[in-house]
Amino acid sequence: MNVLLLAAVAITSLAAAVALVRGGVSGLGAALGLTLEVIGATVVFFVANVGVGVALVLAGRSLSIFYTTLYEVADVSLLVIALVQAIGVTAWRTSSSR
Amino acid sequence: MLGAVTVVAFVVVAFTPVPKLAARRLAVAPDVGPADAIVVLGATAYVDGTLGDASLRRAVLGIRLYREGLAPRLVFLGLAGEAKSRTRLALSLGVPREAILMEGAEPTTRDEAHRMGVVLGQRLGVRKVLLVTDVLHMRRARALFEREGLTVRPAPTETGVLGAASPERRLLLTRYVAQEVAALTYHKVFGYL
Repeated sequence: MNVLLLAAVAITSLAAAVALVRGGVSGLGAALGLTLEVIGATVVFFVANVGVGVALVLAGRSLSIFYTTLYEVADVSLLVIALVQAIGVTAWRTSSSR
Repeated sequence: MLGAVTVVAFVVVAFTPVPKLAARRLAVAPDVGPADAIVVLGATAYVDGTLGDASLRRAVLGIRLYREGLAPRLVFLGLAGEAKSRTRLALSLGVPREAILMEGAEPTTRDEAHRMGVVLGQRLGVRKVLLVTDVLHMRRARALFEREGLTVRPAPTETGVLGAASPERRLLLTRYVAQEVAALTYHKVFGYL
């Protein structure tokens, strides 16, 4: 099953690469670098989001403003939001440097 | 650099047995046997009282242990109607009402342990409990209950999670392990363990 998933990913990636090369698109190395940059920024945003979320929960508890579980900030949607933040910030940075 | 490390980490987590090995190190082996009470820890329930998956698994195991005659008392914990729903389930499966103790006001495992230390340990003279919770939650739960003076026999649920065979399951398992390691660290840093 694992091999099946990897095969599907390899086939679609290869198809996209072939289509782009035939369309005259170049600069694969720079694109890979940018992709890794977005992934790295996603991790930074995710860790920051979780960290700030934990701090807010602990502050809310200690000040008796509200009581909620720390599991609240372990929501998987935070990862997707972090990805959107990373894409936005990276796109902003690269567009401003052109 | 961070991006490359993340990609490698993702591949390791999703496509190798590393998460299973980490989870097995964290898991606590069952020690099911006679005790003074069976304590079923809270998990999650919906606002209408419908039990979440983990909550239902724990409740069913608690009821099964009771019906096997391993303890004369069955304690259900859980917020938002969870303990009540579990009690209804137990009653419908033949557990007598007088054997059930329901506590539904403790929001964390630490609060649950403290409450059980007072209610079971101090008021009812209970010494040994069969503790029912998820397999990866057991290490922290057991330590918190032992800190309250109770002797714990672990009765973990969801041991199947340790055999995660697909990338999605391994990612989920990694999340559980990371969550529990973070919780253990938090408890140690703040002196709760």
